[in-house]
Amino acid sequence: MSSTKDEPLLVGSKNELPELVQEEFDSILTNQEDVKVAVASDMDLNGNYEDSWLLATDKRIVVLSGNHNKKPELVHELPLVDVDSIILKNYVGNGLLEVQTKGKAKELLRFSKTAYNSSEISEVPKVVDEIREQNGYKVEGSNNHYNGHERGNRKVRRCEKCGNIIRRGNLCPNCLDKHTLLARLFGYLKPYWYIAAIAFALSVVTVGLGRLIPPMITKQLIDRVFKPIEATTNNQRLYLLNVFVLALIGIHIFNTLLGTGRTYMMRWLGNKVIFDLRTSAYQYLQQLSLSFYNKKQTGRLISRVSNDTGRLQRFIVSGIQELLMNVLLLTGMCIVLFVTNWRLAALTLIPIPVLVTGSIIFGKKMHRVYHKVWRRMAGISAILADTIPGVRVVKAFASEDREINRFNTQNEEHFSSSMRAAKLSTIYFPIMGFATFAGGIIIRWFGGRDIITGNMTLGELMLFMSYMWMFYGPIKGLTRLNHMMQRAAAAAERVFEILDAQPEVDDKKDAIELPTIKGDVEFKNVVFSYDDEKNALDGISFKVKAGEMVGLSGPSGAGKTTLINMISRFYDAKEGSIYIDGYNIKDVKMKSLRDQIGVVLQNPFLFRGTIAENIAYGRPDASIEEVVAAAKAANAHDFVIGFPDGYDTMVGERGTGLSGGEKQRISIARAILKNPRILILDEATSSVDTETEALIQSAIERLIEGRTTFAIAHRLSTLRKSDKLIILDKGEIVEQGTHDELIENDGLYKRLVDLQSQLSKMKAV
Amino acid sequence: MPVYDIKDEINKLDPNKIQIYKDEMNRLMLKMEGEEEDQEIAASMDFPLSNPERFISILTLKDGKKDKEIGVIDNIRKLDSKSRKILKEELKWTYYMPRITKINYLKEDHGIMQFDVETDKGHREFETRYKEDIRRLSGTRVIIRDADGNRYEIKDYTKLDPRSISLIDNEI
Repeated sequence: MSSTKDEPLLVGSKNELPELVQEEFDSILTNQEDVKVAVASDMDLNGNYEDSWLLATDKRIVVLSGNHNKKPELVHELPLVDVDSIILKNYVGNGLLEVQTKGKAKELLRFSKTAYNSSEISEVPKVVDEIREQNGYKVEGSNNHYNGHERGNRKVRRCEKCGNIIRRGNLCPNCLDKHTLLARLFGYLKPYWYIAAIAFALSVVTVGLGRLIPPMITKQLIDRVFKPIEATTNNQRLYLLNVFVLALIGIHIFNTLLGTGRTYMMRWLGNKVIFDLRTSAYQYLQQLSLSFYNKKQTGRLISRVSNDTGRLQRFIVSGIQELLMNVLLLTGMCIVLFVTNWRLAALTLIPIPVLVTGSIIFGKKMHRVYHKVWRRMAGISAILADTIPGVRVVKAFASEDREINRFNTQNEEHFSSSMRAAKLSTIYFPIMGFATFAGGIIIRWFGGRDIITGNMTLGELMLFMSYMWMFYGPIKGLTRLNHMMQRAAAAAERVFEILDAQPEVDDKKDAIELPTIKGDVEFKNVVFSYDDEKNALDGISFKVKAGEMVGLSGPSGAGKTTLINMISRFYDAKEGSIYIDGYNIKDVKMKSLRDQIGVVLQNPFLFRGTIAENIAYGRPDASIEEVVAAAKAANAHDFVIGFPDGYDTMVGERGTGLSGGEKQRISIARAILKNPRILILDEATSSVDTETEALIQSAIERLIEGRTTFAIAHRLSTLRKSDKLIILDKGEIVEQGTHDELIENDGLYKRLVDLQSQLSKMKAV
Repeated sequence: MPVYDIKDEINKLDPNKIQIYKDEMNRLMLKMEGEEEDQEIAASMDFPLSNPERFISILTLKDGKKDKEIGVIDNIRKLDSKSRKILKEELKWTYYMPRITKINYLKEDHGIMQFDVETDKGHREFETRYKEDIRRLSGTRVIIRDADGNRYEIKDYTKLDPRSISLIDNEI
């Protein structure tokens, strides 16, 4: 907070307080006083959920407390002259502003984390200090943050419109219009609109032909063929019978053909839209910078590309189709019935509201019950996912019985919730059955009277009966519609979120190709933060000449890995710049930059494929000879040829079947083959045994020749040969120089070296 | 040769040789036998949920922040009654967890759960962000962490009123 003297220091404004509270404050304050800060809390000093307010003027601090709509009580009134300092204490679930006056401490304001996150409470000590400084009182740094258990603060993002929590992305799920989402989804249909139009037309025809017409023909059969009418001869009746039966057969065949075509088209459409969506989502995922992945669990992202797009597909293919058919069918049936006998039609529709409300209520209830069943099932899966892969640990600790018990408890809970669902549906169907049955009774009774009085024919009654039985399905389908649309909208939202995310690290529009480099690297005052709260790198500057080896060391969390990630531009610096051969890496195309950097990580990742494919991952065009040469240089060749399939041995997602050291050597071969000018080794030898380490070490020595190399290692002996050592601590460079210089310097490096030699002596004994 | 005992790694404070009190500045202080000066400390529970009375870490303060562990108090009950009262009061605030007595309303929307509850500290509305924020401990005890990091506890959810039970039961 800058303190230009004239500007008011208003942090939270008094005008935002409730009126009663403002009045109370006004009655305490004098006219000459200037309100500097006003904050609201949701707790009283005893930790009860009551409202409290703190207000600081240039003269004093006033605290009020009270319940809603009541006149608040005065808790504290303190002249600022007496205030020595203000302390902010942060604990779990609450916090406290404390003031020290005349050598004593007083509790001023207690607050929950919610109040802390949503108001300016954290600024109060600072503001009060500034006021006191302006007044010429003695200030002794009262901005004393006392941090409780929680690491940092969980900052919650809330929607600006409705104040709800935004969990992920930039979209507020509440304010997001579902219809906009679906409209956007339908936007993907646009390129194929003609297919959609044809399919729709076919739907109209098939509903008409397949569902509406056959009962009408049956009606004709009954009225004109089955029932002897005086005006027609038997021959005429036989002729009509043939015509109607042939019509039924013809309609069925024709309709089946049309229906098949329509279903095929709809499926093609659904698959095509999802294909497009999935392709663009995946393309986007690959382009997004690492920081996007830092914030999300990769599992969830995978599920978005596979499951959520699948759900959308089902919505487009069967959802929309069903919706269209149901609406058409219902309207068609209603029209026919009302035209035939409007009085009876109206009566027949009486049980329909029961059917509709019943379906909606049951649907909701069922959703809840199944939600619970699903939760319980997830619990079972969680246990399985935990203990089956971890079965060796379970057995090693002889805890089979405990695991069985744990599983049984979950399983029993799943059983009981499933049975509740079963109960519900066994009750529901008879009730709905009765509603349908009631419709049938109405038709028989009222329709029967109409037949007796001659107002209706038997065929018409049969038409009513058969339509009656067809009402049930579409109505149930329509009541499910809202739920289905919601699910589809939620899925669409998650997929679109990926499409809407902006890669934080992206090529500039006028980015140039980085020409083949020599390998000079320079950091100029680089600052970077993952969360904007704590700087992971805090003003890093150094220069490395082409071909030099730089060793990076320091305690964990010092920023070593962050630093090397900056060279590949996985993240962009908040301040400062990085230059390679004099080019600012933000000005060059990312691909041209990363093509010239080789990386060997602590936990090498091998892709599904053969060993050869994995070695050639950076250069798919490499010849077999080059691949083998790289493997030899990486000391990988000997073990590779030991496999029955040699270089064609398949390795799994995480390189199953290979030891850590073997995977490491393959990844070194990968880096050698790429022949990069700049090489990054992140703890390349930390997870292997001594013998393998020696093998890898000698491979690395071959690899680093003539390249600018950045190596992170905890084992400092591996860094001894470095041309330059950079020792980091808490995001800053604390020492740099050669091994000998740093030993001379007697600083952090010396201490680490001494510690390690002691450790190795202990091991030797 | 004496057998190495892993328990030796823990520096237990002898309850008979320490005293905890609050000074005039409302600072939590530790008086230790054999030490000339009392020092300002911070206290925190190592097992705030599963065992709040045992293993209380006593830490030094540096610039108002927790710094190094001086040692742990094995069992708060072994302290003298004055120290115990002070420490308990302090721990109540370092890990503040009102108890939910009734759930008025609970709704899930896009994975965010909205709670409207009665607690022993009054009425409260809050939201949780993730499924994992609602933790079931030891069968029927439920610990809830809201979006801002506040904690709430349901001692035994099966002992709530039927409506509250059915509301929470679906989510745990």
